[in-house]
Amino acid sequence: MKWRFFALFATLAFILVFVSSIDVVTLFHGSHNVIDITSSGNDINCTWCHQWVQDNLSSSAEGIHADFRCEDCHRIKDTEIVFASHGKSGEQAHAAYTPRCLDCHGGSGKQIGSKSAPPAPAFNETSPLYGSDVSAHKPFVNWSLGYNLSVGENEACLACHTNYSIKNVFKRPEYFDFWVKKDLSVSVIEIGSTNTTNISKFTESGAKHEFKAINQIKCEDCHSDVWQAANHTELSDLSEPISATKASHVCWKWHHGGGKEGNNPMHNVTCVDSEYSVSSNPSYPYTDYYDNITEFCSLSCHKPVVSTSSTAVPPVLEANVHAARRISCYDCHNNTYGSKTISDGPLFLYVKPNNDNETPRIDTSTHTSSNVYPERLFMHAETCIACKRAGAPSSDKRFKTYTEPNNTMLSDGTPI
Amino acid sequence: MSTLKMVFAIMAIVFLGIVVLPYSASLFTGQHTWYELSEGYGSKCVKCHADIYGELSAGGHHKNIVGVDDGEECLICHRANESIIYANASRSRGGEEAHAASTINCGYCHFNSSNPTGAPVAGGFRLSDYYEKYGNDTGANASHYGFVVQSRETGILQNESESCVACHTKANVTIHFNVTTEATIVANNTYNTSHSYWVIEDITASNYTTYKEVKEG
Repeated sequence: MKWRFFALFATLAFILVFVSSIDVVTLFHGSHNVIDITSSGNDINCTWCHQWVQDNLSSSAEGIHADFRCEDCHRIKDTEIVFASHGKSGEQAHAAYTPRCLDCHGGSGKQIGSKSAPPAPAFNETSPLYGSDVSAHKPFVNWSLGYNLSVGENEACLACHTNYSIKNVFKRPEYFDFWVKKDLSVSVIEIGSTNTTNISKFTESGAKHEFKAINQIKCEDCHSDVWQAANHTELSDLSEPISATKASHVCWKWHHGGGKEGNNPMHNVTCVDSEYSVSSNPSYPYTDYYDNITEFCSLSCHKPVVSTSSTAVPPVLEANVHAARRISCYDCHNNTYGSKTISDGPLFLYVKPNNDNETPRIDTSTHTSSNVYPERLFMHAETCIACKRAGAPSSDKRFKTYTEPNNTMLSDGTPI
Repeated sequence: MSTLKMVFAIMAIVFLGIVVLPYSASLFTGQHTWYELSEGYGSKCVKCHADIYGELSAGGHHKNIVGVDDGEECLICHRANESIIYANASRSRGGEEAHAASTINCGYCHFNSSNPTGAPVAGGFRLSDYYEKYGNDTGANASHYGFVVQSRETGILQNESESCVACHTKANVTIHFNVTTEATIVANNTYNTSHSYWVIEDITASNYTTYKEVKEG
């Protein structure tokens, strides 16, 4: 009987509700409750729909951009864009636009409330566009204009300055087969077919709004192939008092024995003391000179500190650049600038080791840098390093050098 | 009491009821009391759509749009479409494309600077007539352009109204964002007879992830 009672009760309740109900239920509750937008700014809270982005910003290193309002970037007041607000309908954008990083970091930078956005050196310049061609990453910035992954050249900015993951696919000739003559003229026999190297800069979040501190940007995140080729501290020929490491891409030559271990520490890969423990050999006194790989890349070659008081500075070191310089060995080690040594003082280069950073000149008795300069840039380091690893021979030599991440080099068919 | 007496008593009661009761009870009280339509329609909408009217009254806009808080506001939107012939007693029209009301998209008024209610134009999507008239509503930099335009392809609300409602009302919205967390960049150290130089051959998005945002009104 109990179930009959409940069935009867439920039926009566249903009929009562059906007969007495006068309202219908709207499909989207709240869809007729229109938000007041009568202020002069944005009245609609972006984080209602974009909380994830705010969380990313809050996770940025050193609080970069973390205390900004969404409007500070996405409704910048002095752009040409008219945003929708009370009394304004909006023209190029309604609620928001996607900014170029250089909207704030271009030109002389921008003041946003009490904070100032610093200009991005070189890339903030408009004439010539993105500054000097010496900026190593200028082609990246320039080419990114042609891709629609983000607006403007933002792809390039995001790649280094955020936790957005990057899968790099580097294509290079696999090897170079060439003659280096006594006068340092170069004769290329063969350029190998394209070799592809994949390097992944992976971060867990992959978030484009999660900004990195400057000291968190590591060259080797994207260029680990270069570091792999460079990270060879073994000597090419221990029988010689002057030898070279088997590093490729960077070097280099140093003295061993006779109390001159680790001479020329500026380019010396064994002076890197990083989390990879590259240099742990206690017999060499320079293990602490470079704190990490990025510092080595920068100070040893791609962005050395230059004395502003010196008048003998190679043009490539005077150019305003962003992260790194696209540089040739022969920019410094040539007939003009290569004669500056520590005894010539004042030195034009000051780098972290700062104890014996002479810039050896090319031996003008048999070589001249003007012979190699016209060669394609990727041949400069190949010719330079190959000769050093071969012990700076005075006769013509045929070399075959492999490109990063391979550090193999052959001289007349023999590994060096 | 015998069965026969019981039947007789029931029949007597029923007969008494039929003879004595002056009225029959209607299933739905009031269903034969007709409205005078010339008095207006608005209050009649509220009879069934009181929840919507409550939202309008609580919101920042569209309330008191006719100056009187009597429910006539409903008609401003839901009879705004001038191409539709609605039922109209005073004009002896039975209604053609719609009877009492039609649903409408926000842009019907807000993309039309000549709209009869003087509703402000929503610019910045290249969808208003400002683009045709003045050329300034280009929408060239609108972050939400894709949302607005692609919402026209869905059938939940009319035209682009889903996107308008999502931001401008207190309707709950659940959004599943599918975003890229990685770019694949192809760089080629290419060369000719005199120069070697890096070329970015491709930049593509990869490694997508989905996350959910819930906007609660």
